[in-house]
Amino acid sequence: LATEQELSDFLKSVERRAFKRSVYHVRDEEAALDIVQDSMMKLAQHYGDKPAAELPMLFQRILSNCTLDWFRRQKTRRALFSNLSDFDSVDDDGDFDLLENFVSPTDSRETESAEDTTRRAQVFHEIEEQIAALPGRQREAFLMRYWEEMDVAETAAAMGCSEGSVKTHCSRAVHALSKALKAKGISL
Amino acid sequence: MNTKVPTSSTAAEDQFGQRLAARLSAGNRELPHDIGERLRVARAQAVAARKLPPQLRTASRGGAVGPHGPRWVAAGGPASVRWCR
Repeated sequence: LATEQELSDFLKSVERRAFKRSVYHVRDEEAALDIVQDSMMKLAQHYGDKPAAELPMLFQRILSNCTLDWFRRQKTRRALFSNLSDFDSVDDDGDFDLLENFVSPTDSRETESAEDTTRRAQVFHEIEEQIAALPGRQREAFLMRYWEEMDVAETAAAMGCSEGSVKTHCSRAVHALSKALKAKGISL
Repeated sequence: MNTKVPTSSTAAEDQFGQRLAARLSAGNRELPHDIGERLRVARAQAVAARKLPPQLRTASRGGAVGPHGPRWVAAGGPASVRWCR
C-alpha cells in the first residue's frame, strides 16, 4: 500500500512529463491539463491502495487511456484520424541513414555561449515540433521508451501491444525524427 | 505492411533516441508557473481522493467502524472537483 506521501511524491515526479507528453499528443495545454488531472484522479481513486512500486506502470497506462479517451471525445473525424489512425500506418524511411545524423556523443556544454544557448533552445523547439508531428503510436512509444526510460516490455504493457510493435514504433520514430531534424540542419 | 527493422541498428537507434530525450528533458526543466500550480492542485485533489482499504478509511477518520459503517466514504469528495477556470 502506497502511503499518502508516496502517492504524492510519485505524482509530483511524473506530472510535468505527463503534462508535456499530453501536450505533444493533443497539442492543447488546457486539454493536456485535463488529461493529466483525470489520470491522477483515476490512479488515486482506483489504485490508491496499491503498492508504490505498481504506480508508475498503472499511471502510464491510465495516462495513455485518458489521452485516447480525449481523442474519442473529439467529434471531428479529422482530429481522430490525423492523430490516431496511424496505428497501421506505413512509413517509408527508405533513404534514411541514422548515423549520418548522429555525431559524437561527447558534448561541450562548458563552453556554451549565449549564441549556443539560443541555438540550443531553437533545437529544443524543433525537436518538440517533430515529436508532435509523429504518428500517435510512434510518438507514444518513443516518449515512453526514451523519455520515460521504460523498457520495451514495460512500454508494450502500457501501450497494450506486443514488444515487437514497440520496437517497430520506436525504430520508425527515431528514423523519422532523425530524418526530419537532418532536413532542418540539426545534428545531435 | 510491417517492415522488419534490422537488429544491428537497434543500439544506434537507442543511442539517438536517448540523446533526443535528453534534449527534451533539458528543455522541459521549467514549466510556466500557472501550469505548475494547476498540476500541484490536481495532485493534491488526487491524493485527497485516494482509495484506501476499509480499515484505513475508518482509521483515518479517527476511530473504528461504527455500527453504520464508514458512511463518510459515500459523501463524495474532491473527486468531482474540476479545474477552476
